[in-house]
Amino acid sequence: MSETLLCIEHLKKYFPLKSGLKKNAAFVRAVDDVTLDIHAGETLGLVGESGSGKTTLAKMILGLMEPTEGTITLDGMDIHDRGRRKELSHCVGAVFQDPASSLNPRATVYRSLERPLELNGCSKGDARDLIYETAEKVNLGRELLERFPYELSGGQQQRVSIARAILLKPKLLVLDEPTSALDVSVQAQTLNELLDLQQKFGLTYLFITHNLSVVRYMSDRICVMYGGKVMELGEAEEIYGHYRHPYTLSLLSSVPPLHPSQRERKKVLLTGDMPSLIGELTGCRFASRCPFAQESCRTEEPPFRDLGEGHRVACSLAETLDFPNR
Amino acid sequence: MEEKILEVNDLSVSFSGGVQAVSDVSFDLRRGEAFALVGESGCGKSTTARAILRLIRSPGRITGGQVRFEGRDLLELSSKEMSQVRGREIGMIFQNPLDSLNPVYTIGGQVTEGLVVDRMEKREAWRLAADMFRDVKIPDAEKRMKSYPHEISGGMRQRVMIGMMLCRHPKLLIADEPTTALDVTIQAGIIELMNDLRRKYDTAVLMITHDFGIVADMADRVGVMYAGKLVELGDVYTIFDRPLHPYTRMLMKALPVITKKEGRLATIPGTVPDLSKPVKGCRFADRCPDACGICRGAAPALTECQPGHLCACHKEKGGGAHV
Amino acid sequence: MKWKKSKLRQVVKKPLFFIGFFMMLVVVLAAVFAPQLAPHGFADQALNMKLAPPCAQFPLGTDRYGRCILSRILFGSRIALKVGLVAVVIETVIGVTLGILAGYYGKKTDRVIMFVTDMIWSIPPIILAMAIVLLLGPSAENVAISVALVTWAQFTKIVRAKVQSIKSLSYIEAAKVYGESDLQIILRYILPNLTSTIVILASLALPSAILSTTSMGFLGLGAQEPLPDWGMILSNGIQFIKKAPWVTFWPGLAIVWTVLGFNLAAEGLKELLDPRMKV
Repeated sequence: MSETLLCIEHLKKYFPLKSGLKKNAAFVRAVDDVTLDIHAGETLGLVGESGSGKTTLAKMILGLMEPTEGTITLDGMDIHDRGRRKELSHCVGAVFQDPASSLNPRATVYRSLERPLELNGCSKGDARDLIYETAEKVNLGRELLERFPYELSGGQQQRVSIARAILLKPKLLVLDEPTSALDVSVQAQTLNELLDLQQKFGLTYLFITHNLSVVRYMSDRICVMYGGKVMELGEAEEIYGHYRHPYTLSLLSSVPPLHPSQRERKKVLLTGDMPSLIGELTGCRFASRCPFAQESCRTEEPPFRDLGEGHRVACSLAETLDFPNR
Repeated sequence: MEEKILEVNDLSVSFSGGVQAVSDVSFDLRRGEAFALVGESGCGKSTTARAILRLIRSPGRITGGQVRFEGRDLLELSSKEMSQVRGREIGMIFQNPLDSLNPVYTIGGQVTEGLVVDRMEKREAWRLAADMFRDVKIPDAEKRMKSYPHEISGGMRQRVMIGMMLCRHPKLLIADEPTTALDVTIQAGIIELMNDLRRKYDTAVLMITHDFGIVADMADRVGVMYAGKLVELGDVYTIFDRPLHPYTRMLMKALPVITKKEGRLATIPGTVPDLSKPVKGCRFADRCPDACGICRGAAPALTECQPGHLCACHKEKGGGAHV
Repeated sequence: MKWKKSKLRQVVKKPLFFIGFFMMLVVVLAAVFAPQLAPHGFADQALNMKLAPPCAQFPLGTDRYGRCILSRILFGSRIALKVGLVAVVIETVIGVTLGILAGYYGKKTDRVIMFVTDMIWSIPPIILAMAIVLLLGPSAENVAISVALVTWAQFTKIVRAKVQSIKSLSYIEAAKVYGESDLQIILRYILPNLTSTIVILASLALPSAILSTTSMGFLGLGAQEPLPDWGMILSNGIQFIKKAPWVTFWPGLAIVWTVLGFNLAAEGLKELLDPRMKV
């Protein structure tokens, strides 16, 4: 196995709830005790529904949010060490969901790309060479550099964001739903370009999405989150072919079919809403909606166990459940 | 042949600056059928749906064509007659249900309001609405009806909207990307619900979507739109198994259905033409790998290549330069 | 730029904007060329012509000291515009700074600033302004300061809301990821994206500031005699309103003309820059 690039240990983020005069009466446990490694050169797909905590996790990795507890280390450096903020800004890049709001509307594309270099002490001339070189890498025509963001299409805007993210040659690229706002044909192109960049420059991706087809295409390993916790983690094909967690099952069976003949497939539909993440929580987060839940699931929190070959699952019934594997 | 309840003939819509958002779109819906209009953003699918209900906002304008609903041309009706059709005979649900619900009334109150307008007694309306809430599988229906829109989740809101529309037994339900803003697990539930209710009430559904997965999951027939034109129309199995139009074929190959180890996704080079200028020839010609002289010279008409399978391409059998 | 041209065309179609712009222009020109346009000095007294009706020598009549009303109104426009502008500049600086701090930093900073803002907001502005002027002493400068001190709160509220929405946009997050400091983010990313909001707010605040300053003048708290403050001319004429209505009519018209003109022009500017903005 390749070496570990990013190491997340017992990470927690609790948001205090405002409740009148009482101070810090309750917390929302947005991310609750997540332990995760990202290996150098791989793509780790992070999937989960809204409210699963995947975006909060990404923000902590990007240093945009302080964790309540736990650590994130990148190549041995603590991400939240304020003294090394400057150093870390080289190491992590980010691409966000909405291409239109990812670029400063008042700056030209060139200016948007120049600024991170300027901040990191790059001379004007060096910056120019590097910007041209990077624009070429992401297939961004030179004539587009002098334009303003609103003059570009969504796909072009997203390419500028990708260019900006890889300019400083980061070790880790956090891609937060980078193609969710794009059309199918543009999405295909953007995904292919990301794969090419990774191959050529040995980048490491954390790919966050709710689109299970996209994550399957892109990822080496997949991490499934629910209610602020990791439910299942493993090699992409292992997760798709031999998932062991009931939540993964319902997630995968919810994906619309590829062909009308699969219309009558058996779906495991979830009933009810996401559980509240406020206050003291006992048992498995998924128990309230799990079709297989037993009494013990509601009282005891299942450990995040290794089933072998890096396939880890947080379900105490994992071995005994019989799923229709695809 | 089954009875047609909606016939759209040569519908055209243009916006300010001469943008032809929809040009000469024709299709029909049969009673109880699910028809999906699929395409990428800006292809005119939503505009077509809105035009059917005459919900195009100024400066947009319907510039031509007919929308025949049960024999009447909706474009000829007075605005009073049209508002009778909306909601009562044709229902519509949108991508963001929060915008379609009034935040200051309980959802039960909003659902019954339409029925009371139809001269139904209030208690009777409430009972019917509660039944409908159970139909759309909202737990604790009676209690939920007293909630306000912001108190329920996005998936529940969309269920409320569907229930609200179906209460008055419309013959046609237009759904404009109803699940795009929802999580997959919620989306699967909504689609299943729509499929069940469609069979139960024999309501025709016009589904507007960009997602071929949803098409595969619920449509009987499919229309593929590109740059304001309907380029292919046919039975859902035919479209998935034997797509004829190069755009449909390429779009299908761009869907991420593989893993990166298996290969790369196909892409469609180029961009959609600028619709504010008149386009000579086929609108897909600049991106089409098979385009030749005739494609750039004349726009292909939507013609029947096989029974029930229509395609607007010069390269297909029967696709001549008619327009 | 293309979109600007098409927007300009939309605004050109609105006749009210043009009327407003024309009215505003008249006032500005009057202020700039007052010495050339005025037939007399603003303090010149014709002691034998007290409260004279409009005539060839005094086109709009004279006041109780025999001073030319037209000349006083023309010179008075300078005071009105100057005091209004100074007030707007001060309130913009205070309001925008506090709004940015509250919106960007949130938490405690926000709570403290919003508490002060709400306090200011809850006191009737004209009474607070009067109290401030009485404390500082009546003069045109102090009127400008007092008007600014009671009106910045509206800037803070709107700018804060706008900053909160800009702050959550991805380009701000991206900037933080590649290492921009908070101050840099405010100066390079937030402030430039607030310019149209600030311009609109300031242009809408100007007519109300002019109105407030003339009200203060009316109460005798503004520029002192013999300086021709519009509000003061008006209040001095009130007691002769039956005998010599022109002493109150013309300065009243000047105030209405100016406030209406600036308001219409500001509305037009808003249409041009940000038609959806709610003020």
